[in-house]
Amino acid sequence: MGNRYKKFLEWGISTFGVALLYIIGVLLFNETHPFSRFPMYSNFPNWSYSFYLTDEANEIIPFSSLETTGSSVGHLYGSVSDELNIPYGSFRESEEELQQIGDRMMFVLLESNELKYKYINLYRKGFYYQNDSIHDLTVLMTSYERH
Amino acid sequence: MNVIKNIRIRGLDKEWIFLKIPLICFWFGIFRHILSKNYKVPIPSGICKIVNCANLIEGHGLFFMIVASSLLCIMYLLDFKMKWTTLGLFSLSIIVFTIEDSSGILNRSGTFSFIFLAQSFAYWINGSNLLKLKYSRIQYSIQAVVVGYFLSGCSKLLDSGLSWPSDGSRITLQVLKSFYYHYYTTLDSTELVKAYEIVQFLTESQNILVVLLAGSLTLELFALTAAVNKSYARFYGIALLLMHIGIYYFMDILIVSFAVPMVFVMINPFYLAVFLYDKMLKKPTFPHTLKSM
Repeated sequence: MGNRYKKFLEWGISTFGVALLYIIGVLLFNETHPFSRFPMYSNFPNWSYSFYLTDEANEIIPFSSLETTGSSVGHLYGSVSDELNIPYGSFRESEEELQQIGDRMMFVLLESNELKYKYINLYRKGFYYQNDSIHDLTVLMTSYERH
Repeated sequence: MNVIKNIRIRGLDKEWIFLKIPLICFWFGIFRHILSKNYKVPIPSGICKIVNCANLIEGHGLFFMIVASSLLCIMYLLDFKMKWTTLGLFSLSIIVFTIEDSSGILNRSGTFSFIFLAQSFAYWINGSNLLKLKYSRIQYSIQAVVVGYFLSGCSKLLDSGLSWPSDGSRITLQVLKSFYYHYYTTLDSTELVKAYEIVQFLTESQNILVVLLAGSLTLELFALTAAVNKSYARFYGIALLLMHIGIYYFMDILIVSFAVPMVFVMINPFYLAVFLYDKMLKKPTFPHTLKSM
């Protein structure tokens, strides 16, 4: 009986031991690379945000011209909000908070990219459900002018 | 008995070669891509809170990273000093992906780094038993991949409970967001046309949506079962690939650093192609490796 139990334990460790170590790592270090509990889309809140840039003529500037993507900028919004300790989502951010987040986002974006435009606006376009239909709300977060 | 053991080892060697070559090439490609991005580590996270990672992506630091990663890749391909090579790759992988995270882009590429640590475990633990080592370096890699899917399923249960699939009607907001991300990246207006078509389809097909979401949740929650048997892992990998294709089609999202290693480790398509080709020619190659050991 003891031998069978030992064999089962050995099988368990060799079959799931590495996975178990990762789970322990997640419990100890939370969302620190390489550990993550991969919470992407673990719930479906009544909001989602996307972001875009415009030039002085209010024409959209494609993110590809800044060697980034809309998805990366979306991630950046969450990271910057966390960094500034500003709770985000559900359109709860105040105008001042949005400006703060926007300024920091612009700083990060322009830090690693050469600016080809003299004037840039950063907008947030949000989607939400009201009365079973999807609505959107666009707000200007911040504007940047090259001196 | 020794003949069977040798045949098994030969089969596992072939499987390993077809796994490690695409895996390391892909890793090196992503590694170089991140280094070329000129990140400045403005929001330090993880190891970059302790070490000044910005020094590692410019000047001498950048040179060291490129030389070290190139050397380690060659050593990995040659199966040279694998205990240390895999540990080295794990360390470099952690540094470079943390640099990406520290630039505000949380790509959650942890699984990819962890595969190298899992392989290192195989070399450290089973180094003295050749057959065990050759089996475990593949099986541990599978564990490193499937644990991510399992945790993703657990997160859904923790955050939303069992009602996650039935709450999925608001996934349309995430669909719109994703397609707008792509539109604002390239200004390709067909993205928006597709977005609203998919939103309309999902709104009109709530039952199909619930079934698809329930299916993907079940797949994630039982992902660890793929670690039990290698041939089962291959079929599970194909099911996960179909899930990723579905997510890509409906949401325009492909988590490259998650899905691609999964394909290499669990499906091992190049090995499978050679295996099927040999089978077509009725050549007796290595069918035994598709069976559980």
